[in-house]
This record gives sequence, structure tokens and C-alpha cells, in this order.
Amino acid sequence: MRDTFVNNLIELAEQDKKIFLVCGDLGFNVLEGFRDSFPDRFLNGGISEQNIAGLCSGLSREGYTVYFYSIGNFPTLRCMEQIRYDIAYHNANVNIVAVGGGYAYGSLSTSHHATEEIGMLRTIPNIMVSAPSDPSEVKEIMRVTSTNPSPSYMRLNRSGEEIINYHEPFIPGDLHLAYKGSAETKNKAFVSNGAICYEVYKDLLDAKSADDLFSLPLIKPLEESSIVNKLFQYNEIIVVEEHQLIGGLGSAIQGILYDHFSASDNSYLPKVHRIGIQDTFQNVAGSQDFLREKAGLFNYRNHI
Amino acid sequence: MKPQTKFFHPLSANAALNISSKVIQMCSEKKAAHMGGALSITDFLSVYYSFFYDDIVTSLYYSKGHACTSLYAALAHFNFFDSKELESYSENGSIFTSHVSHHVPGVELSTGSLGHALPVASGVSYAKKIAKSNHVSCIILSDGELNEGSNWEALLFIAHHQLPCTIVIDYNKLQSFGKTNEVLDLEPLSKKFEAFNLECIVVDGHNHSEIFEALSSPNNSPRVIILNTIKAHPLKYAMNTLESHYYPPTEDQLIEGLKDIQEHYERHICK
Repeated sequence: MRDTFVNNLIELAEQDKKIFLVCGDLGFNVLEGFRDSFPDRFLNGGISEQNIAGLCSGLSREGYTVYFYSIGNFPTLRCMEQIRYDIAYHNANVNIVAVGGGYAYGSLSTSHHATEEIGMLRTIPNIMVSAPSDPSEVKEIMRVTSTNPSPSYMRLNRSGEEIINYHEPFIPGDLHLAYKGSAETKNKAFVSNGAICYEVYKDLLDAKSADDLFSLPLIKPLEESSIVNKLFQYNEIIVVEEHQLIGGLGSAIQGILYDHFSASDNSYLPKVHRIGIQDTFQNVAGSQDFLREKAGLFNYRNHI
Repeated sequence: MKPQTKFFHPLSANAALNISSKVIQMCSEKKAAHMGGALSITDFLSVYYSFFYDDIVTSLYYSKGHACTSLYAALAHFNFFDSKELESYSENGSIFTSHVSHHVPGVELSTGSLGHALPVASGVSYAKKIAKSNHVSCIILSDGELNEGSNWEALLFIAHHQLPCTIVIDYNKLQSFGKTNEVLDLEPLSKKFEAFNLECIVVDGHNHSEIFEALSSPNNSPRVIILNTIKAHPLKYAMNTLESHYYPPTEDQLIEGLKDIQEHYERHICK
């Protein structure tokens, strides 16, 4: 995903002379291509995310479409107030991109586990929040955010992620059909985003499952009525996310469905099962899959 | 707006008289806090807007957003909007919020949470520098605000890239809950900036000609101007008191304060 991000950014920057990339002293073997192609539109701001978030807002005031790239918690939680105040409140054209979403940097410890940032960023007005499920969605999200002058956040996993064969075109904020089950009648649907969506996809393919899987890469803003129309056709929804249950994708889906149910005369509401991190930290070393297993994220398999 | 290039004391003294008077009137009428820090920076704002502000090549980032009354009053005095508009200050629905708002004409950046404007201005200055612009950003910080680490990140960045900006410290030596040297000592302050490879000038922050001289020095590299100021200057009853950070003037104190301001500035105006 990170290679897709940087290669795509290079392509965009060739067309758009206003694209500017700022990093917080990382990106070894990743960002060199951009740096060498556009030296006057690349800045290593040093290990100082609070300053960088503010200066990105400053660069955007001078007309740049700014990308701020770093690892997980550093361009997000570390400078959350700068994001809220300097970037979001001033509606600055700053796109924050974090590599290492969820437990992607598993063994590097809790400091590098990005498992709360989506929930925190979702609560801030003006900012688009996304967790693309595969490299093709990274491109789709960048197509939206690079032309939209509002701020955005995009969570990436690491590198080497495989492509999902989607069954329909990507629509920002809407469900994106990733796997079409064999069932004649709609019974169960999985909804996921981020790299764990690919795991669900693979398992459903392997099982030749009768159920459907939707990716929802852009988690804010949402096309609520379309999501409601689609998900109310199912009896059960299983939401899978590599994020704390509080504030993440599952709570967003649950909120939309329940709001619709409360506002309508409908007496029907699909069941929602949320699979995510249950208000815990991981305090041992482990690969991404080891920590996903330990956190119970693979429990979605009980629904397949 | 184009700047006057020659120092003319009556011009800035008249501005300071109007701005200071407006500050204490606003604080009194609206029972607003933060009068002391607004008055300590009034002289600088008066000199800056009288002689140096130019909307093409300068911009002001006012980091000490709590001291909003002096910036609002300065912008009104220098005709960014009609001073009658300030009557709505802090009222329900007013754009004149009690920390600086960028919805007010002439304000670049909303501030109120401390340690934000210097990083933002450093991004602006970086963009201006690579565009080979002769633009200079001026950033006004409070002294207590220097407790925030984000400022020191920005100072490293500004010094490293030699960004053309003027960093102004309103050193009135009182912060929210005590003296700066008792809460978190900043001294030796000018040496700290010099150690960051930043040129540092220390002036009397209430002396208009000293402020003028400091702002007139060459500005193609970053410079820090430390203003030695007095909180709530020139109100005799309130000068150098922590209370002036919180309490608005009573009716009697307003009358007395307006007299103090008049006396302090008219000698320069009538010259």
C-alpha cells in the first residue's frame, strides 16, 4: 500500500505542481523517488509532528496540496490538537497519510500499534477519514482527496498487500462490493476496511461462502442512505476492523442503521456483530497476524 | 495598506491610546478576562500596524489568542472593520470570540490554544522562501506560551531553514498562575534563542522608538524580538499583577484606567 501511495503521489505530482510531501524523518526506501523527482516539493520536517502538522497548515495557506506522511500514531495522535485546530478548523488542504495501520508493525510494540486513530479523527469536523482495503482503493481514495481541498486522513497497512477483485466501481463513502456470495437470498454480509478486509475476502473465497463482503474504505463522510438501503436487505451484518471497537467502523455502521431504524416506521433492524479490539493494549511482541489472533479479530471466522 | 517608513511618535502613540482605551472598555463592559496581557502588547501592535504592516509583504500571526481585545481593537483602529462592530464582542453569535478568530477581518489564524501560530507561520514562511518572496511573517507569542514544546520544535525548524520571520515575545513575566520564573523559568531567555542560532534583540516593549528600531533591522533571516513589558501597562492600579489576567476593571477602575492611559500617551501625541 505504501508503494502504491508514493508511486501514485509521484504521478499526481507530475500533473499537479501544487502537490507537496512532508515527512517526519522517516520513509527510508519509500519516499526517495518522490524526493528525488520533486526536491522543491519535498520536506523532511524532522521528528517534530506537532510542528509539522502546523507547518502543513501553513504550506496549504500558500496554495499547496500537502501530504503529511508518517507512521501510525505520529501524524495523528501525537498532534491531534494541531489537526483539529490548525488543519480541520481552518479547513486546510492537508492530507495525512499513516503507514502501519492496526497491528501492521506488530513486533515494534504498542507505540507503533495504530488502533485508536480512526475513532479520534472521525469526531473532528471537516476531515475525511479512510482506511483503504487494498492498493486499488488507495488509488481511489487519493483520487478523491487530492482533488478535494478539505483535510483528510488515510490509513495504510505496509507493503505487499494483494488486490481485491471488486464487483462494482468505487463510490466515495459507499459500500464497495468485494466478494459476492452464492446465496440467492441475502442473509449475511460482512463489512470491513483496512488490510484486515483482505483477510476476510480471502477466507470467504476459500470457503466459497454464500455471504457477501463489502469494503467501506472511506469511513467519513458516509453515503448514509445508500448504506442503509444496502444493509437493510440482510438479516445479519458482521463488521470486522483492526481498530478499537469504540469509535471505529462497527460503531459507525451500528449508528447509521440504528438511527435509520429509530427514525422510520420500520420494525425491522438487522443484527450487527462487531469484531474489533476490545478496549485493550497488546503488551507482547508478535507479528500482525499473531496480535490479530490474540485480540480476537479472527473471530469473524465463526460467522463463515 | 502601505506602511509609513519614518518613525512618527504621535501616530503610534495615538494608536496605542485608542487601542488601550478600547481594551479596558471592552473588558469592563463585557466583564472579560485577559486584560493584562492585552495591554502589555498594545504598544508593539501600535508600532507594527502604524509603520510596518503591509498586506502584500507582511502577515501577523497572533499566537497569544487570549489577549484578543488588543488585536481586535488594533484592527478596528487601523480600519479593518468599523469599531462599532466591536460592540458585539463575546456576545452570543458574535464573530468576536474571546480568543482570536480568523473569521474577523485582518486575522490570519484562529488562536487560543497556545503554541500553534509559530508552527503554522513556519510553514507559510517556508513556502514564501521557496517562492523567493520578500514576505515576512510576524508572530507574537506570550512568555508563558514558551512552556509549550511545539514552539521549540518550530524554532529549530525556522533556524535550520533560516526562514524570514520576526518572532516577538511579550515578556511581561507573569503567566496564568504565577511569575514565569517561579512556574517554569525561561531565563536565560535571549541566550536560549541565540543558542538556536537565532538573532535576538531585547527592547523596552513600551518604548515605541525602540520597537521601531528593532523592527527596522534587516529581516532576511529569522530574528527574535524580546519585548520587556509590564502586564496591564499603563494602569496604575493593575500593573504587574496576576489579577489583571482575570479581573475586568470595575466602573471606578475604568475611569481611573482611562485617565492613566490618557496621561501616559498624550505627552507623545502633543509633542
